[in-house]
Amino acid sequence: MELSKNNCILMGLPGSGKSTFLSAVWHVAESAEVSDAIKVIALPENREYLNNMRNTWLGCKDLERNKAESVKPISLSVENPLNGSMGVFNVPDLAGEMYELQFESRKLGKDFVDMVKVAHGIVLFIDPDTLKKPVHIADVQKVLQPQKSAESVKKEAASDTKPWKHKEAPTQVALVDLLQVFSDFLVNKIKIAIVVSAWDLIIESPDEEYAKLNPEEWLQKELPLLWQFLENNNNVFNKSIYGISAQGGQYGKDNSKLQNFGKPSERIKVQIGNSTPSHDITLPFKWLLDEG
Amino acid sequence: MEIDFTKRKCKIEGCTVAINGKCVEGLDLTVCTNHEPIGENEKGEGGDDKSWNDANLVSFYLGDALSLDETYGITSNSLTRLIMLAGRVDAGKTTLLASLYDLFQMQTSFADYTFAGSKTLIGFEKRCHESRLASKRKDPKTERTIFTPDDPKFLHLKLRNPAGENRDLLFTDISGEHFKQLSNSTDECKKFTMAKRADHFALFLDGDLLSSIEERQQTKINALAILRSLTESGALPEETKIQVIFSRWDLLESKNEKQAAKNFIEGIKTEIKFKYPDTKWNILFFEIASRPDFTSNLPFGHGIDKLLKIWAEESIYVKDKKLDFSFEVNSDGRQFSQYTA
Repeated sequence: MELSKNNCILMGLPGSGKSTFLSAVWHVAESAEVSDAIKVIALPENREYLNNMRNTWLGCKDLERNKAESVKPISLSVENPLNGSMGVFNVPDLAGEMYELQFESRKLGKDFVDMVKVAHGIVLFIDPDTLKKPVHIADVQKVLQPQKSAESVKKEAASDTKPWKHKEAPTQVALVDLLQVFSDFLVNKIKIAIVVSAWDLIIESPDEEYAKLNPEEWLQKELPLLWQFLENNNNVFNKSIYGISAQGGQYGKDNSKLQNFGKPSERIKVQIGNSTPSHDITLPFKWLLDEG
Repeated sequence: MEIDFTKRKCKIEGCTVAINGKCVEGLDLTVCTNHEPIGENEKGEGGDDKSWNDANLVSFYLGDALSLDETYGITSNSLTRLIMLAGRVDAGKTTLLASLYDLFQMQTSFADYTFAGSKTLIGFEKRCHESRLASKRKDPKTERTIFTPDDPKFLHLKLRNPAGENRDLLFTDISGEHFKQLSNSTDECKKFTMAKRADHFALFLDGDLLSSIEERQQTKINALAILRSLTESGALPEETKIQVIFSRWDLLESKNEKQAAKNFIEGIKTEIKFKYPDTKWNILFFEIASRPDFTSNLPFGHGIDKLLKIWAEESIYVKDKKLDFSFEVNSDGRQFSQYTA
């Protein structure tokens, strides 16, 4: 029986967690530690890259950052044990620097455009730890200089303005721009799984109200422009939002805890909506694989 | 004859015909004259060559403020509201646009509208930059718009209204120097044909200057001169909805002489209503503080919500009725009249 092909693009800015996610997915899908998770039904031919990433993940070490121009295609034949559906995920592991380069240069590689044209799904990664948010000078002035008048502040200011660069753009602006460009090349509506990575930072936050946010609420609060864009372009993007900690905690600081789990998959945390976090890191892929 | 779009490239920036066969102007490839064959030395080898060189790259829209030609991709697809922001240098035109954009970055809706997209995100970001910490400035400002009378620039926002309808808004970002020129020359006004197509004409008067006894008369006269020049020359028709904006309201409110300033502003309103009666003209007045000083109690974007609702919902193209504009070929006004309801 020929398996349905599911061309899936992992997308996100540098350091947003794509490779760590893929490492953990490979472990869970291949090891069958998580009973409901997607399972690999045939070992991919080129699995050295996956195995190397998995070993680094198992050792609770940071992965080497992908260089911008290397594109390592990964092909996984998988089965969803809950409903028996099967498919082949073709996932190019694209470096986050490539997306940054696109945002700045306003050009796309033809190979990448070809991938977008045949894509069935996107997994978009957002790292809460490295978010760039716009901070107004006036807001800082209010906090730091409440006793001074506006005129006296202006007299003090020696204004050497740092010129604008693309890297200064807030994270949500860069992501909306990338998705807009994507949508120009798409032929059909596409599924997009939004992964808020390093989710442990949110659920273990000392701010109790912040820690109670579910992934969608977090997106509305921290990246409202992106959230509005996705809501208003649901004719193009069918979205599902996940909070995922593929590492389970901070490497270095938490290693003794992370390495102490009986099964490595038990350190993974995956939350959708207000559900209790599970260890099934393949949930986004399951959703992408489903027909609905 | 079928054309292989993968072997063509388009002269128009951002056109994706080479990728998906879709012309940005909506033309059939057999009639469009903008596309041409890819030259021999531009054919990428593809496959193994993944280096970041031009042969393997596809350009997309720049994201910066749009030129008149570049607005066509938007105006040809929807009934676009054109909002012209007018006034002298430093009156607050660009700051209002930057603040409006920033308001959608800060919250999940503004004035019951939500953000649906923009072709000029980078243009907006550049204009917001000097009000943000990333600029390393100690006090916020907006960079002055460069005077380019032959190359007007536009910023774009696509919003969704409470009824779930999309609204494409195009805002002019024109230098105050240009409006000074227009106030001094009927000939220049006659060349300023895009004003004929403007759904809204927002005339800015600097509230801070109006609160100064030395500056207020000149500020008033200069603003009214712009309005008179454009209306008398016919550049601004009666159908256009006019908003008179008293900007920097936070600075006016901070002055000891604020009541005198407010009385003076009431006088301006009376004068404008007399010269431009309601029977012929649609003029409303607004108090705006786009980016209030940190000492002010006014919220960020004070007054912009009321403006936005009018800008997004009212158009000179009344539903089911085409207004008859006569535009010369190649005029700016003709560019914006490509789409009619």
